[in-house]
Amino acid sequence: MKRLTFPKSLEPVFSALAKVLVPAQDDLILEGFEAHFFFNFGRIFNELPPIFRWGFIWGIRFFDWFPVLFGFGLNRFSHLSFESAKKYVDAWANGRLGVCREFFKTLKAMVILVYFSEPKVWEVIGYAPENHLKERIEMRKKILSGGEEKVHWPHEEETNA
Amino acid sequence: MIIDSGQVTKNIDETCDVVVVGSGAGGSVMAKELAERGLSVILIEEGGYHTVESFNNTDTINSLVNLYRNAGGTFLAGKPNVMYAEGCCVGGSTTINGGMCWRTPDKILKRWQWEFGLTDLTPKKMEPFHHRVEEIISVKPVLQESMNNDSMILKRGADKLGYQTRANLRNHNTCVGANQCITGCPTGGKQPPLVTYIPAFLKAGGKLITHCRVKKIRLKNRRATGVKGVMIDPVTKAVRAKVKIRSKITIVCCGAVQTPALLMRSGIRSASGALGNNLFIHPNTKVLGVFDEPIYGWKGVNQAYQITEFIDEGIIMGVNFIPPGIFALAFPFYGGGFLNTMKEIFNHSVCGAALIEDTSRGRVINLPFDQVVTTYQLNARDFELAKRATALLAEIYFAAGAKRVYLPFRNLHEINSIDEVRKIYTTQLKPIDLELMSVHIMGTCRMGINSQQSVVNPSGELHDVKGLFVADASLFPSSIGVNPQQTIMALATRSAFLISENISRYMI
Ligand SMILES: Cc1cc2nc3c(=O)[nH]c(=O)nc-3n(C[C@H](O)[C@H](O)[C@H](O)COP(=O)(O)OP(=O)(O)OC[C@H]3O[C@@H](n4cnc5c(N)ncnc54)[C@H](O)[C@@H]3O)c2cc1C
Repeated sequence: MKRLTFPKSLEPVFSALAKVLVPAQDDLILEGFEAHFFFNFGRIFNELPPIFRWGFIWGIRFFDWFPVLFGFGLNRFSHLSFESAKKYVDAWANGRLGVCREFFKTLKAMVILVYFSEPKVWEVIGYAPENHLKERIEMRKKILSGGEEKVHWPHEEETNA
Repeated sequence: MIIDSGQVTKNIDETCDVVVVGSGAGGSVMAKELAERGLSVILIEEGGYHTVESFNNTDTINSLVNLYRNAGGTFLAGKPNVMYAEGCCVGGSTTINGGMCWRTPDKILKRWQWEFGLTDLTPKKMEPFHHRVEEIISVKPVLQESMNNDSMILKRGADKLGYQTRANLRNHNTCVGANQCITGCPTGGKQPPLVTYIPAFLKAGGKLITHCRVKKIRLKNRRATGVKGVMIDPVTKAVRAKVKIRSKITIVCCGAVQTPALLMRSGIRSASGALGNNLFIHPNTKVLGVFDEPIYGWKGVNQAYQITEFIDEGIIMGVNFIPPGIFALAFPFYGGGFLNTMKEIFNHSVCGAALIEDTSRGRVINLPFDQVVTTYQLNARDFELAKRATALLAEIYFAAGAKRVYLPFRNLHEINSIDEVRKIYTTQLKPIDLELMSVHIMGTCRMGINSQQSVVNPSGELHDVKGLFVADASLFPSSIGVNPQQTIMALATRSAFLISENISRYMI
């Protein structure tokens, strides 16, 4: 049986969703790294158990095709104006239907996780692990070559409660 | 010797004294201890072998995909649903854990003696096993140089309020606080089995098979005779070869979800009805404090302190910085301004969590086609405890000077002063409104003397199947209220010792 992987046809839905969930000041969020964003999204998706992947794809299709059920006319989500898309997303996030809320939570988690794992976004928020790591590796070399480690507390203090 | 699915061209069919399934806290210890006693041991791991040099702290997604089961996206169904994480790589969850080490609390051992007849698990009798583990994985306090601001802020708040803290013991050899524990330590400072037990196992002549998922335990006349599995391509997930191992002793160490699932899949039932039940998870509430001062929580060691003042109530707390992708999940909001908010607070916040010694229970359900579902129902006592833990952390942050605190409640996600902490009690909150997560799964094959009450006997062997042992977190008869890796490793050391003492019983 062929393994269910992240379908390219769903990319526009996620693009539209990402624009609502994580817009930068100038709305440039995905430009420049959209391909990488979807690549990573696909990698996470492909690791999920089959039952999740299947449910996820049908959930997304439902999310995309049925704004009409939430009073947003006959448009698909990926074709809604930015303002309407925002309202539609709010309806899923805060609506009365627990299933919709839970599904939305998962969707949101995946988009946010992938988005905030992008090195370009890290730059914006001031996270620079690469330099930090280099410093720490140097620090470790120095301590190791200098002989003894200086631990922060005497071992005797550390008893179990 | 290491055999990976990438190298195999034909099915594997081997015979050995001992086959160990799962190379995490329990499995790596069992494999090394038994191999060093001269037994031929094959260790099978579903995930891949990733070396310290391969850990890449600039690609969170890569780490999640390579090191975590389901890329970290696994949950327990209930009200609320709870996300949980477990490792799927050589070293299991220990490769991605924070490295906090605790001996089993005396009160827990006492409870296990009374309720489950585990009279040999006294602190005194467990001492040599803990000691051995502590030596091998280098359990000690953190280094002066590796201290970071977020732990100091937590301590500052706790000190102001007069709450007791514990300077953590961690398994490390000159950990300098790269603070990348959960995506694989890239400096080699952390000393998990990946760099301790596994190399020693290989040195003792053990054989490690990676990217191999065990599907079934082979059984004959209520005795285990080995395992059957498949070699899996890590990217396409296609089956590359079949694996059959014949062994005298079979040890299952797949973690508290996959172990009962594997036993059930193999047709094993427990007369106690406890197999797959009694899943404990140490539910975690994440609480975020925002400060005016720059903190840079990612610079320095993970959880230098824990607050232990409330340990008797079943709460311990600590701060633990995480990469931005995971950090951002703590916020209930989205949309306009999210990036700006992250810009404003990321380097000014403390990300803390409270661990709860739970009495709620979950269950592992085995489905056809090798699928597993887990459920967990938070009970009223644990919900109240989660609320209390959240309130305490918020209070500590404000005492330390926080200007804002983000809470894990859907309908109460921000408070701005110590006076507002009371809102946690005055707002109508329901369990479903609470965001929880877990990284400590336990129970499901509980240990005890009585086969009507437990799945395995005090040496870890199944009451109902001879030659079949469990040696991982699923052995725990109850939640333990402290970080569990050392207890798992000490129990595995003890089981290995008991097996080798009685080896003639199995070598028939
Ligand atoms: C993010 C994180 C942080 C943590 N921090 C701490 C901490 O600071 N201190 C602490 O004490 N504990 C911590 N823990 C918990 C601790 O690491 C675990 O409790 C412990 O590793 C569990 O040991 P185990 O042997 O039960 O399972 P694991 O260590 O999870 O090992 C199970 C192994 O079995 C393999 N496996 C499963 N099924 C199969 C199969 N069918 N075939 C082949 N292989 C299989 C898995 O891939 C895995 O490698 C943390 C856990 C996580 C996830």
